Amino acid sequence: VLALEVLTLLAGVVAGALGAMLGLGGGIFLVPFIQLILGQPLGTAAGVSLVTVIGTSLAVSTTLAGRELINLRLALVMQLFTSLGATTGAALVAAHVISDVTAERVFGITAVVIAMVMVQRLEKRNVLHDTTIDIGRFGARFHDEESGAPIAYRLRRTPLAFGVSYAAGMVSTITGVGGGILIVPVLNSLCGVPIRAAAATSTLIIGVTAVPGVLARFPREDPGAPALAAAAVLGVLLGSRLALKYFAGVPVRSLKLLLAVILGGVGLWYLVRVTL
Amino acid sequence: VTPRRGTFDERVRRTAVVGLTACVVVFAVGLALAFADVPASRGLLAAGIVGITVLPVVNVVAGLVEEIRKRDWAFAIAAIAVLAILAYNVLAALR
Repeated sequence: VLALEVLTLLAGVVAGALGAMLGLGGGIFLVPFIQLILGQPLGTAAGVSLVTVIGTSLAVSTTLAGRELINLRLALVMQLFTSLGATTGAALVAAHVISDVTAERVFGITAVVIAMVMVQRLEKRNVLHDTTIDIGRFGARFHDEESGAPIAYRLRRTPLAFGVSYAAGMVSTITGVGGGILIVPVLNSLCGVPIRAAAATSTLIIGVTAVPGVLARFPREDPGAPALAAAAVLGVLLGSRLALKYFAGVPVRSLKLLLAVILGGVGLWYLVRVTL
Repeated sequence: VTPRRGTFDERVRRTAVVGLTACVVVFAVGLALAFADVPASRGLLAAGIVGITVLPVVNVVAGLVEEIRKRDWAFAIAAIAVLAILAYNVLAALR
């Protein structure tokens, strides 16, 4: 039992570091780890992972607060759609409407498609250097550390952003990942939000999105689950802190490439797993 | 970067710092007790999970306060709707 918790703590450090850099909760790395390496059932993996998603969300928002990267208005409205999606997901899980295999197949296909879109739009920056321009209801302005200049952006394809939020909420509860894995690429590649703003806003959204998932998926009957979750949270918090301290200046192109590779890899892993 | 006092960013930061610190302490002590096979560890770890789950809800409340302060009622209603959905999920889990 002790070995399980130590392994989970170490996996949490890696998941937290990658999650913090990419605006993800880290669940995309933890769920496969807990399922494949530790041999725990999907329900336990999902429940533990969603608790760590909240941990990453809070840790990252602590560090990002004050940099004006978090778009509160966009986050509030997207949270409405993600939490509705998460509630739908919880109802579907409770009613056994969606099997684990179907959920994993849908998730795998979505992740691979988004990875391909990200690679195709690798050089696109989504920033408006004329900061006096109308940013609309959901746009924002912030100081870009990479270019050293103030920049602005405007949300495009608003219905798509909200539709994906709903889907992300549902996927989050069903698979145990934070939902940032869908939100960040779509906001960045298709809705015109710069990657750092998309990642920061996503971290605020996924914390709230994970709440219905934790309530529905955390295995209260499993006596080992709370210790596993505690180890994962401690690891994730340590990892995200290290990443934000030492890797905050990683170039946007590298971040996008890393996200695309992880998305594609995990998506393929899910597809191979349900096919074999 | 330290956010300005009274801003949304500052409230989010304060909630996360205070709440997370408390949860980290509870989780660390709980894990140490679990390794030592002390039965009380289970209750402590469960309390930590409940605590960390409540923190994002506090952030939504902070967002609601911010939008009410700005008198932007559309976004305030969005925040209230999020809180209502979360309340529904709590009730469903308790059922």
